[in-house]
Amino acid sequence: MLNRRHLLKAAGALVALPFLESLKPAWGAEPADKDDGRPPLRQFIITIAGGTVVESWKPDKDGPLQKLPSILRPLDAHKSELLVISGLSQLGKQSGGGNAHTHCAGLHLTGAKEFVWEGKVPKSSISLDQAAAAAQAGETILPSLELGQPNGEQTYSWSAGGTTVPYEGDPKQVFDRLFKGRTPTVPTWARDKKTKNTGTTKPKTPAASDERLVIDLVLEDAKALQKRLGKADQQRVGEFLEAVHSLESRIVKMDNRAAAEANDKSGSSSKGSDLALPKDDKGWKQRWNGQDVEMRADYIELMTTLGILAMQTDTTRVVTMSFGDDGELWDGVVTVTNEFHHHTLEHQANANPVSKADPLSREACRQIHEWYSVQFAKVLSKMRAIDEAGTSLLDNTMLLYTSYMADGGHGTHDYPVLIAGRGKGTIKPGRHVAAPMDTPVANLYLEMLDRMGDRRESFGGSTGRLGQLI
Amino acid sequence: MPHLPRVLLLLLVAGLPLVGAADFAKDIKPLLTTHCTECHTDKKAKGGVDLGMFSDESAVRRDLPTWRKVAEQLTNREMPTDKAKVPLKDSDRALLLTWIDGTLKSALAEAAKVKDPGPAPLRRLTRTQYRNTIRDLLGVELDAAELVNLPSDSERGYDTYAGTLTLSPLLFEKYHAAATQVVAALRAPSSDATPAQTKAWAAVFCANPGTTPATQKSAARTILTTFARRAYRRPPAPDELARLFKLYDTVAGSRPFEDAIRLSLTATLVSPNFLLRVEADRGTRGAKEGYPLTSHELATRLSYLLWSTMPDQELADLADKGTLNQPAVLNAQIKRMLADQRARALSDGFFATWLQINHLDRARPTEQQFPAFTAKLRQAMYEEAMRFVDELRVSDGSLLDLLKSDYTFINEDLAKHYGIVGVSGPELRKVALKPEQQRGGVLGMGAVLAITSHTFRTSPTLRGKWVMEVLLGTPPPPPPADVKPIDEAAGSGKAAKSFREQLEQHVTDPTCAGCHKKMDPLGFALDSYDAVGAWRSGSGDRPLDTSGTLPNGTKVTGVADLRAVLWQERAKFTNTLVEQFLLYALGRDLITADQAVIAELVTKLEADNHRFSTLIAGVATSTPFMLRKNADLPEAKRK
Repeated sequence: MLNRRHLLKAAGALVALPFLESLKPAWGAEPADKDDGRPPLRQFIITIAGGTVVESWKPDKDGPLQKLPSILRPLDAHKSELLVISGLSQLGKQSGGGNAHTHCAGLHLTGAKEFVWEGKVPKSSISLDQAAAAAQAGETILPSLELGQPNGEQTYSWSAGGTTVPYEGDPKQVFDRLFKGRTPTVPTWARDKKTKNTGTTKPKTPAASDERLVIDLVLEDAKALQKRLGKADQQRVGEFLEAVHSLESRIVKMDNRAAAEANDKSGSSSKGSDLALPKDDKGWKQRWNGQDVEMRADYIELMTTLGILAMQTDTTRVVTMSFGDDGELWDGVVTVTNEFHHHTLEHQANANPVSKADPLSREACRQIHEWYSVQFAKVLSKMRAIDEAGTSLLDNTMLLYTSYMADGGHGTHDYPVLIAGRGKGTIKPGRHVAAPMDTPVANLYLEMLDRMGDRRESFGGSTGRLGQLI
Repeated sequence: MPHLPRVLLLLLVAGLPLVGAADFAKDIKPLLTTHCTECHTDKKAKGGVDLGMFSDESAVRRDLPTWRKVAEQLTNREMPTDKAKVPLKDSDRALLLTWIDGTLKSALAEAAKVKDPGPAPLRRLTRTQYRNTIRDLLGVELDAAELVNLPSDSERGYDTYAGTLTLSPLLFEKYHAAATQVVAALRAPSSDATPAQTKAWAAVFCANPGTTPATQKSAARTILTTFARRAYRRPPAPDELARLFKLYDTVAGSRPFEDAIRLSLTATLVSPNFLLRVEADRGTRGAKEGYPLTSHELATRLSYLLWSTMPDQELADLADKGTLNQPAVLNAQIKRMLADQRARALSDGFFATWLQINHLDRARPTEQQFPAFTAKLRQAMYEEAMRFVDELRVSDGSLLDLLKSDYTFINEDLAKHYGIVGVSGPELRKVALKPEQQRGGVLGMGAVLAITSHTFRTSPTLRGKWVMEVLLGTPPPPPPADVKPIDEAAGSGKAAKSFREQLEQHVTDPTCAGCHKKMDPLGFALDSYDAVGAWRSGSGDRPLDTSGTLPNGTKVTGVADLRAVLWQERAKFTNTLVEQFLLYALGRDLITADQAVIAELVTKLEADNHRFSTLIAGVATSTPFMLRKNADLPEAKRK
């Protein structure tokens, strides 16, 4: 059994430190993305594999949440924080290649009208998380964080240029990226108000760091190279330059943040100097490649904790995660059949009409999704316990919990969609909203983007704003 | 006017191919419109074939693979289907076939004349290439890719494919983190450093810094020039060196010599000149013909193709001398490189992906259902296939052994699994096979049989698809969207149909029949192997039925028949293998000119006992591999 004590204890220390009383928010009607000195709005997305089993997910009635369906029941303690939205569908098409899984994956967070393959290369439009990250760029050290199982063909995040954004699956890499060379610190939002925000107040220029020198050389190399290449190849070098600039920007922001924290004389920012990853001799790959369900739970807990820490320390405001792999085995969770292979169960559990599906496999899928809810409940507990100036981290978050397919049969109608948290006062949870069947999921994404400060009029295949969130 | 019929008559009498002179617009297009495009156009484009988009003959000449497919369907009388409203007259079928054949041949002949190497897109190092290159460049025993968890490059298809070798911000951060760590891993000589560590250090710190700033500066220039030459796989340009020197000079005053050098080395390892395989544009813009690679570019291509790593000293020296492009030198190098242990990279890099067994660790059969299918046995299965191809390399054997052979490579576990006695110990060794042992070639390999199965049973469909796609190069299109799953009713207690009976639904359902009547009989022929490749005589309490009829009427009753069928089709197999290896080597989609390269190499292989080295050398000395052209032309139509 994995020893998670160190990390969790450290996270607790971060959490426990008090915010100034005077910062208790008086929630007004300002846009959630406004830099008002209050804790900022975060967007957190958790995608699990395999869709859901709709009859065990979807509440019977519109309106205030009553008794929860069995898949959602593990979340009962957090019922007041949940907004279940049903009737949302992905209506986009895939063309030029791919299979049913790539189809669903390419549409999942893009809500695209069409998802195309150019030769062997999938191209989709910008995804919800990357658009939100762009809108928040400059606010934090990292524009966004994409974590979770590297899931083969299932790529959910897409850059503005339409290429896939990789997910980091190794907790050690995540930890180093977030906290190596800096003391994880929870900002006091009072300080931010005075000094404006990180990145806007320039501290005195630090002596050129090693990274800075290396980056300068690489940028010059790349620019020199661009002159020697043909048009098609220049594009790839352009991509290279963009990647280097992104590292450059992270380093600048880290310097600025460190200076701002040093300038903070209030002494009320909370530092967690003893933060360390738990030891793991087996290597983390075992956690996502392995077939041990308990390890899988540990892995999800560790990764979500890292994501929460990233938000709590305002290292980023946009976190996107993916869990589950259709190839996983569920021995120990599935108790009703001897088949434990998720993909096989998904296919057997779904048919048109549903009455032709294998009921035992369907029950097995239900068990798997119920298990995921148990893990998700832990995330919600943790986020609610983190105090931010009298509110909780969850209060200041829109946490979209969903799957990349509607069901295990590659369904695209009536997705499992749940938003937890109050979105800094822009979302009224504790309800089930039944949208008209086949409302584009992109209509919800448009609402979320608007809250993150991206005021576009349409997104992917959206037909308008979803409404009813508040 | 009166002359025309006489000319026609003459031609007919003489048996000349009148249709060879058929005109696309006048003779061919109307036939396509009447008989094909109702299903094969635009959105419908059944089977992924869109014949509506061919507006003239030149469009046809740009997409030979599609027309080869059309010719095959027409020859086998699979198309138009029985349900076509207007049946295709035999004379019209002959007209189409003759026209396609003539067009294909003349397009190939034309392509062979022009030395068009096609596009040569810029590629970054793959995960494997990066790992190996760091290892060889620094001499450190570190898996740099694993160190920073570099993502894999391609889920399907070859990792060398330029289109998927993108460079994201996260990836660059990883390269940066890895560079810092691997450079730090260079250990200065000390009492507890291993000889290998000391050697690696000495190879990088190849000049004595002395004790004064001036001697240090001079040593730094030597060290950085030597390192950049190896890292960039060519002599570094003056401006590139100037930047490295400047970096050194900036920090040299404030820290020890070695640390200042290390920082410059780190910069080298994140430079685009290291991470990307740069081939500079030169020559005329818009030219169709290519120009020869520089000898450094050629050394780099060769080394990554055969070894998945940077050129070694010998290749680098020849590149410096500029003699590598000479045929005798080049051939000798290919021979040397093939004999080198590093050429095993061809097995893991090319063959494992082509055979689709690179994902054997994700094969569906489970240990719960098949207790024999342990991680150890999986590994042995993978190694069997890899050793098989690697021995073809070592012995320069016939690639047709992949179709049938009287030997394979197994250890005790695998022998037991295959029911072969007399093999003990964990190491694989070559074992002679008797026909009754039912092995030999890839069809009898556990790895292939396991990746084409479901968790608890075989999948004749997946196996048939594998044969069509991997061995014959004719992948069936994916199932249409919203297709109903077959009514399997596994374990639900309904009146048990045999699995075979269940699968017959495919052939009776018209949506499915087109492809499944091809795939399923091929797969049923392999049904004597269970889901993890063990030989069996029955399934549950039922006897097996491994018989079937191929669309052309050939009866196949089991794996021996299937082997015979594939042997008949060995030309197609050879064509597929060449095409796949060319894809791997070029890292781009193939164009018409490449079809000529393939055709030529297939002929060569057939005349040469299908020797392993002929395939490798054939591709490594082909026009698209030895030449390049500027990348500013619009890319060839992608398939």
